[in-house]
Amino acid sequence: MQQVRPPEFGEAWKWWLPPHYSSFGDEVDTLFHWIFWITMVTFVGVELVMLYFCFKYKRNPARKATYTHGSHSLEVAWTIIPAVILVALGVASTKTWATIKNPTDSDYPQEFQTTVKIVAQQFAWNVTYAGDDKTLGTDDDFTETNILNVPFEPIDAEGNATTEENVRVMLTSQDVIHSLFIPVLRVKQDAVPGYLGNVWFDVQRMTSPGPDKKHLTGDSRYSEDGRTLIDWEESYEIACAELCGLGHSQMRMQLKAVPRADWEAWSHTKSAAAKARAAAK
Amino acid sequence: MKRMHDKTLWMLALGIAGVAISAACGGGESRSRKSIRGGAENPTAANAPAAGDGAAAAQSGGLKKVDPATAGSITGVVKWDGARPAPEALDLSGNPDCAKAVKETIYKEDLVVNADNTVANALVSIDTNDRYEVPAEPAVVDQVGCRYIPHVFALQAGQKLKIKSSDPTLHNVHYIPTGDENTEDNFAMPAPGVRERTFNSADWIKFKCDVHPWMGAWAAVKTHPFFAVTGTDGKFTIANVPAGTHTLVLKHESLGEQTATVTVEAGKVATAEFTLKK
Amino acid sequence: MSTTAPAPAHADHAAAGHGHHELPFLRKWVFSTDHKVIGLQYLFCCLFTLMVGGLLALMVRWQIAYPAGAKPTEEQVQELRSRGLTGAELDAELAKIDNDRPFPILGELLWGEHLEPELVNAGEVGEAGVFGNSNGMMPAEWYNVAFTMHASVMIFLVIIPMLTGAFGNWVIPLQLGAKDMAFPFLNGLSFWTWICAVLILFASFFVDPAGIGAGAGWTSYPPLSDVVTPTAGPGQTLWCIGVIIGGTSSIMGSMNYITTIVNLRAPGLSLFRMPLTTWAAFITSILQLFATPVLSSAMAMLLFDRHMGTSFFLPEGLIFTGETVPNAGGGQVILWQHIFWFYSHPAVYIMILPAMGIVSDVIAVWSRKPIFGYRPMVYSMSAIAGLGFVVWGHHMFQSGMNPVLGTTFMISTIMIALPSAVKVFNWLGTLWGGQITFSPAMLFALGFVSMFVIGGLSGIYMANAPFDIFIHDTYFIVAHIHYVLFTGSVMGIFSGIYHWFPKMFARHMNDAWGKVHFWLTFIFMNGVFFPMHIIGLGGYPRRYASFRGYDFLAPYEGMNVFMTWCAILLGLSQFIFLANFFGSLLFGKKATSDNPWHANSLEWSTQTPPPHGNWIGPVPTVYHGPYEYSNPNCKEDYAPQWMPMQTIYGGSTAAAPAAPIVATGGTPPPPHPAH
Repeated sequence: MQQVRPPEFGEAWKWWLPPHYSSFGDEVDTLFHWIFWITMVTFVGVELVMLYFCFKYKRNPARKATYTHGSHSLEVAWTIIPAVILVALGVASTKTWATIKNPTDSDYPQEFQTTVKIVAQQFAWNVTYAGDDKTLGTDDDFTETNILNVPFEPIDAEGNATTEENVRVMLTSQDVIHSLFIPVLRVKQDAVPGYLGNVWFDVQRMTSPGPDKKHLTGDSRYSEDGRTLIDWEESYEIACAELCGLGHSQMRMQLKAVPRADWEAWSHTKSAAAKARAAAK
Repeated sequence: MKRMHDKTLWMLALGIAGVAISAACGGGESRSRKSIRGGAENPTAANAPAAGDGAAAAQSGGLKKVDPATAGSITGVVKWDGARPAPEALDLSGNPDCAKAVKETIYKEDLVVNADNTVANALVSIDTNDRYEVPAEPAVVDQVGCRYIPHVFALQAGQKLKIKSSDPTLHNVHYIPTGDENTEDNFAMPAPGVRERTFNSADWIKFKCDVHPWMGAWAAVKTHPFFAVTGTDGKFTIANVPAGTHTLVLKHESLGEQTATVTVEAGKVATAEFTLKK
Repeated sequence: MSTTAPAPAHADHAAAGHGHHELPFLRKWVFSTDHKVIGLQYLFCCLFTLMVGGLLALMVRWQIAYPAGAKPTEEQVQELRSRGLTGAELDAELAKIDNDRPFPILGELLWGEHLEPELVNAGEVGEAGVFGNSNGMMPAEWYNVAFTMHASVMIFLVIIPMLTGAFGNWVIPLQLGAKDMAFPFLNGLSFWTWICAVLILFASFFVDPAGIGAGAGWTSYPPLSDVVTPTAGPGQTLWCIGVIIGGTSSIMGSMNYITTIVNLRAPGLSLFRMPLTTWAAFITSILQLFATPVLSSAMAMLLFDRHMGTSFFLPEGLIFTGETVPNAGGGQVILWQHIFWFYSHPAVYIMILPAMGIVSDVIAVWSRKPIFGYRPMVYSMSAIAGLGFVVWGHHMFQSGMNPVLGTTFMISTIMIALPSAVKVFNWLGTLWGGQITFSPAMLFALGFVSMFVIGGLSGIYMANAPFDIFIHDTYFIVAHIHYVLFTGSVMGIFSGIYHWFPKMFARHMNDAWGKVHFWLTFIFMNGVFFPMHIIGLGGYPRRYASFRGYDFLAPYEGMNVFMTWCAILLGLSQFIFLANFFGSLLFGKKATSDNPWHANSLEWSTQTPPPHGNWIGPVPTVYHGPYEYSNPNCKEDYAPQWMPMQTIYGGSTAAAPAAPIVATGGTPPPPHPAH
């Protein structure tokens, strides 16, 4: 699949959708573009017709208004045509929806290379990583506040993933409803207390420069070979999208996507420390 | 039939409106804020004069006043028994604005053992329920560098507390009394800014910022001015204490309470020592 | 009582006439049972609540544009640098820069004196305001109250009562040819119950020293609204009670409208001869009757959870600030959302259908055309109402609801665009070939149609579940709801007021100022609401007290300031309307005709203003549909419903009666009961 080059941060983002870095981001944005053009054509059409009628049929005593109670065939036409378009749009969207949200669907990822658990609270995100044994609920788990580090999915210049890096988030909350919103990944899922929700995403990043010698974000922070790295200070912002109280607007988290090797190293250090702490107790 | 309807309508409308208005006004006056912990603020009970024996203190408007001529002081140190726990550094990278505001590494503060094996942030006070005069100057707690400074502090019931924020980021102040008399509150801080609160009963109150979960502080509310908090040398000094035998109480947020008995003589310094361990 | 049962009309008339004269002031204008007086009471009260809701909106907008804690701008830093300052000196100067903007007047009144940063840094505290002291700036917890109450006031205290209470009450019996509502006492009771709801909702601001009323959003999702905490205290409880009482008023009103429409239509007025305003009111009432009890039950459960230790919405192990909530266990958080939206999605149609009805009537009158596709209009309104009950899940796509349900709700929601589209096309069809006069009423109706298109089309974005992932709970949805409810419903309300004003008050509103009001409203409302789409596409989350600290929201500061100033100007423009309204009420040109717009429906057949009992003498008989405009067989371009076309307008030779038309003149009406 050809990766659509998203607009860069800054000005372009201000007027349009933000760039997207997940494998399903492109599908979501494509749907947006379809809806955008369908609604735009309808909107402009309706407004133009209305304006035209307003000018053409301005009160004029020399003329008499057309006497008609309607047209059966017109009614049928303007019911059937939008119906066909809308149903087609709906049917076209079901697959994307299932891919992102429905674990029983065949397009939903079968395997997750990384699993983390996020317990939201007023007003912070507690992210628990599985640690060295890759199992949640053991002594080497470690918990970070407002830090979501994941390995990225390397893609080549053509936009094909070289290895899978699917991240599963087991999402819940300990108090009120929160919502995990990662704009650049097109991810949003409510964190609901008493319910363990499933969210998955991947963060795709080019490992080699694209044809125009630019990397995915076109940012000079990347080294020439495209390895993006840990000392990369900028990270993606995660926001809370469901009103959770007075600190709602301050409830945020940073997402950092790093190469698998660096992530493993980081995870190992943290995990070992956690294990040592657990042993000390 | 119609007449009766009219009358009923009159009465009903008046009745409902009356109930609504009285509910609105009554609610407005009560100023109560019940929380899940229960308990409602009662400002009138705030400065109720306590029945005091007035042995070493003069009465002043129902509140006791210390006579410096008959007062001494208490000093001492809080020691740590065992290996000094390594301070645990906090990773602020998830909160960039805090990371920017904080110049040096900050550490967890639930147990701070100084380099000389003494314990900081321990509150030492005299155990009494007598009510003493309230100082006019307010107590101050500041939020700076995404920490509360001081981390443990004490103030008198009825004394003003200035809650400051010197940080460029938004904090919220959420205080949770452990007692039943004062009421929980939670509000956003203007950044930077100052807000004032007064607690009217003795209490041990947890302060926290929900946005920055590591940020916490403890406030001891006392009816009297005989308290001190240990610092980086583990020492405390309580000045101007009425002569007599007192029970000294040490309170630490994660290690609980200890008591000691100390006898104060006028014009002299009494000493006490506490030892804490895991 | 059947509409066809004969009754001594004259005796009744006499009684009504005498009653009218004998009524004391309070009975006539305050505790009235006359539907017209109740309608006007709703109208005036709603104008007041509209101002409260509008003020809250401005405070919300101000906070978004100017949240506390603004850092020095790049220009300010450059300016200081150019003065040769560096290092600690520069820092000291920067610390003195005050970019906080307290809300004009009210900011310092409510939240205390605004001090210079130097004084604040020194620990100074200014004089406290009504709600304590936060340096004159709105604190985040109050911002939550502001938008919650803005929505609650606008929905429960402005749009619903204005459309169903004011217009429903005033217009329905007149368009039906009924002497009053079926249950006049219930009608008055409904109004006064609503007044209680108003008082209780407003009281919620003042039960907490810091003014923390309900702050969990108008959707009040538990557990945020369900556990008693400092920011969800007595204000939240009062809010629930207020909404239940407001709902009770709605239920009383809707029962009354349904009964009236079913039973008290004038002779000859079959259902399919009813004007669309009445049709819309009929369908809306049915929606209200079915949906509102569901909301009330949800609110009752919320109250039980809050104060009686039940746990309808609280799952086990809920931890608030380190402590387990004692009564939590066994409840379902998402249950609330299902119940709430089962009411609140139909509520959106409760708020738009009556406006659609009003606009249909206004467009027909002012373009001198029969409604294009009268029956499809009725069917599409019914379809919107019916589908409205099976689409609530689209509010919950990201809630953790079963994703298979997401697909179902996506399809049903998309289908609701169909009847809406049919309506828009039919309005266009009505304009086609018409004789359009751009009166203020017509301008607002046209504004409604053109803006409702935006609100309708933006709905498709949200209905599309996968794309909703991105725009759910962002400003895109805020834009959508305001395009439906402000540029839709509120435009419909204005249109209705300009249209019926002469009948209501026997005076005309000033046309020129009406047009100025329209154009200013039209321009500024787009200035406020259109950029919301853009920031929504950027992912700007709704209900954020401050965008400070987010890199991805920083680019939208300028747009937010722009929207806020448009909102302020939009608010100011409404004073033109208020001046026009009240000025015309007192000094406006006197209405010389009972039917100044040459309209067809029955409300124009009676005296101006309509007397107690609506018609002196028997009510008129209806001979044909309400939209016989520009019938080529008639000399005039209208054919009132109460005139048989054959006798009055038959052939081009018959002289059309010039207004005023008195109901008792013209045709000999068959005997008809008044009540």
